[in-house]
Order: sequence, then structure tokens, then C-alpha cells
Amino acid sequence: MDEFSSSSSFSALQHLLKLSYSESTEDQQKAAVDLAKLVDGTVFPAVSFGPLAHALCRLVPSSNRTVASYSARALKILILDDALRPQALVAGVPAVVCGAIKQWEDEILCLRELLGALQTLSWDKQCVKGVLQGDIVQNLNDYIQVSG
Amino acid sequence: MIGRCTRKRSCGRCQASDQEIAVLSLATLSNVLSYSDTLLLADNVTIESLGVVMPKLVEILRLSQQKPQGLYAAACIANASFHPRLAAILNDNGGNVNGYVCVMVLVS
Repeated sequence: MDEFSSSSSFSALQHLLKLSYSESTEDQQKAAVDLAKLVDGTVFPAVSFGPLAHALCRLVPSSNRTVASYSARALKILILDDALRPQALVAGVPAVVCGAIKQWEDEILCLRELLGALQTLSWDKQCVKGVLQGDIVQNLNDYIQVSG
Repeated sequence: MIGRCTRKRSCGRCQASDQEIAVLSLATLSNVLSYSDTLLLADNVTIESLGVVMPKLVEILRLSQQKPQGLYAAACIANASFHPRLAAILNDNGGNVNGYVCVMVLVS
């Protein structure tokens, strides 16, 4: 993974953050897809995570399936980093993820990314409190299957 | 770009993805239940909602022992057994708590 240090990465992130705050669904789609690609190959220092987390928390509850699934994927990848999860908690990520799971419970693509993020959040002692406040146990009970 | 798939969870074509979702849900429950003897010890509301899942976990373990679902269900049961209320529900539903604690050691 590349360190997030080059000016080109920084300006790319700035551009994507700007697009994510746009009211246009097309801009939001581009922001979500490109952010998912960007975070997959870049290590973000904790100081850069705040604006990114706020942008993703705005995109994940989108009513557009592509925006929601790609931004959830970006969030899922980002919070794998132990150093970023405390800030994710402060940014309200557990509540956003729990709300989006209820919103997208019939859409496999979104649900898979969101449950991946939820699994990582539930692994962290601080974040698990936020997950439980999201009243998500009933949904998880619905998703598990009894089959031979 | 993700295409315009409109498949729903209940659709038969989504069986593979459904299994992934079931495994992710079980893994999340297992993580949450790992706090059953600490954070959740006095959280009666959450414990009661988790208690509803216990019979299903026992059934999954009984039917899917060699599948990922079965292993995660075993981890859930092992973690839940550290809480007295959840352990009682498991015993009432045919879960041999002591046996599953041994399973947890093997899985981890």
C-alpha cells in the first residue's frame, strides 16, 4: 500500500470530497466509486481520516444503490486500520452502518459491504457499544439461516 | 460499476451471497457475544434480544457442523455461555454449554 503523502493523492482526495458533498447523484457515484478505489491502495494517517469519514457517513445512507455500496466498501476497508476506528466512532460510523443495514436489507451488494464493516466494528471494544445502540441484533437474527 | 441487479435476498439465485451474509452475521454476533461477560453482563435489554437468537444457533450447529456457519455458531454459543442468562437459555434449548466451550478452544 502507498503512504498517503504525495500531493497528487491529496488533491485527488480533495476533489472526491468535494464531489461527495454535491447534490448531484452522478457526482456522488463518482466520489463513492473513486473513494473505494483510493482507500484500497492507500494508507491514510489518522489526521486525514476525519473529513473522509464525514464524507462517507454522508454517502452511505444515500438512496442510490451504487453510492451506498461503494461508499460502504470504502468505509469497510478504512476501519480495518486499528488507528482509525476511534475516529470512526466519534464520526458516528456505527450508527450510520446500522441505519444503512436496515435501509438496504434486501440488497445483497450493499448488505455484504455493510455487514463486513459491522463485523469489524463489533470486534472493537469501544465501537461495539455504538453497534449495540444501533439495535441491530434482530436484523442479524433474520440474516442467519438454519440449513443442513 | 455495479450493474442494475435487482435481486433480493429471498431469490434462489442469490444462495451463495446469502450464505456469505449469514456467515458475516454469525461472525458479528460472535464478536458481540465475546463481551457477554464484560460489557453485556448487566445490559439486560441486549441480553434478552441476544437470547432470542440462541435456539437458532443451537440448530445451526446441529445441522451444519462442518460448514463455516456451524463453526461460527459454535463460537457464538461458546461466547454466550459466559453469561448466566444466555447459558440457561442454551441449556433449555439442548445446547451442551460445557461441550461448546471446548469447541471454542479448538476454533480459536
